[in-house]
Amino acid sequence: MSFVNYHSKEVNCKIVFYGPGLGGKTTNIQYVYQKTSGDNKGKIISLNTENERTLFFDFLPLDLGEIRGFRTRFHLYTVPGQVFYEASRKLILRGVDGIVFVADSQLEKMESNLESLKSLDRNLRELGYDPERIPLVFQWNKRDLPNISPVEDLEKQLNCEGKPSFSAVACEGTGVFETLKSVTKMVLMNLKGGLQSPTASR
Amino acid sequence: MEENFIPHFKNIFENSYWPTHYQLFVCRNDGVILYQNTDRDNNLDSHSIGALIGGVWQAAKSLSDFIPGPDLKDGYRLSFDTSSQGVYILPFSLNGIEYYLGAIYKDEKNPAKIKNLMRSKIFSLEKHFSTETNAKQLSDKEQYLFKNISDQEMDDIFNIYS
Repeated sequence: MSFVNYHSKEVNCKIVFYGPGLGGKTTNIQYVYQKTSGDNKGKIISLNTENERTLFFDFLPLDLGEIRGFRTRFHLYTVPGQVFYEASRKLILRGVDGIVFVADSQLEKMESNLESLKSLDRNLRELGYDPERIPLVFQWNKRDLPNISPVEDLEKQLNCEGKPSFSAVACEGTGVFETLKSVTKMVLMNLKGGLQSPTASR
Repeated sequence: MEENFIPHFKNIFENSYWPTHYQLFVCRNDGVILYQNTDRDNNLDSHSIGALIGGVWQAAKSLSDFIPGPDLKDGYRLSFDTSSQGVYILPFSLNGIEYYLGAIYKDEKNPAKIKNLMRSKIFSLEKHFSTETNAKQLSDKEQYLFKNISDQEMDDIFNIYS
């Protein structure tokens, strides 16, 4: 759940990168980290296993520009993708404002993508969210690899509701900011509160 | 609504004895920092601390589900420390929502005294808010904060990357 502070005029929002293991979630936020200047980012936190797989989460706080006088701060999280970390994934979704589903485009990963999408839906419902009302953007990652599903197949199997989607090669940065900008816009437009401070209006 | 808590956090945590080597943080269960007693308002590292406090608490709470026997969830606190430095996290509840008070400290001769002070301050906070009417704070929550954000406005907030 976002936090709007009318006194300091800032909004804090939580965006979670979800998807199957080794799909490129961490690579996305590492790329954002690399391209963000020191004043606009905090320390990237990665709770990893010894072989660099995400154990609990990665976290990157970002300070973007102002919109209509409000400073915008985004907390980017990734979930661990491996199947047996389901409990951790659910914890990280708590308070989420927007989701990027990072799908692995490789043909043999379609089953993992579907399984992960089902787990997302299940976890959101268990946390009391209506999955259809959470801002969600798809990213078709690894488009540079040879053995990949056509985008049409990915759309048909994973994105039957026609949510925004972007092709990406996250390790090269292709599609990373397009995806982030899209989910950010949806999150900001989904914020509730009214432009006037509740205390000031009474 | 939560922004209205912040002055109370300041009153309680700044108008009383706290050693200067204690960093205090109040955060929500999703890791958003609502209050910190340091002057580093613009330091995004405090956001990382909030994420870790929220994460470590929730992970520990999930672990506690495996403790056999009656449910004692309300009595938990989390301590990761040596005899003189460490991290201490206490949960508390305002208007039915859970928050955490976290302390990071070092060079402390008597951590138990400070932990006790934290618990008593939490008690004061919960007591204060249990007697205050807060229903009115929900007034215009149903309105959208921003309507019709243009592509240009999005370009502007992302222009740090251009």
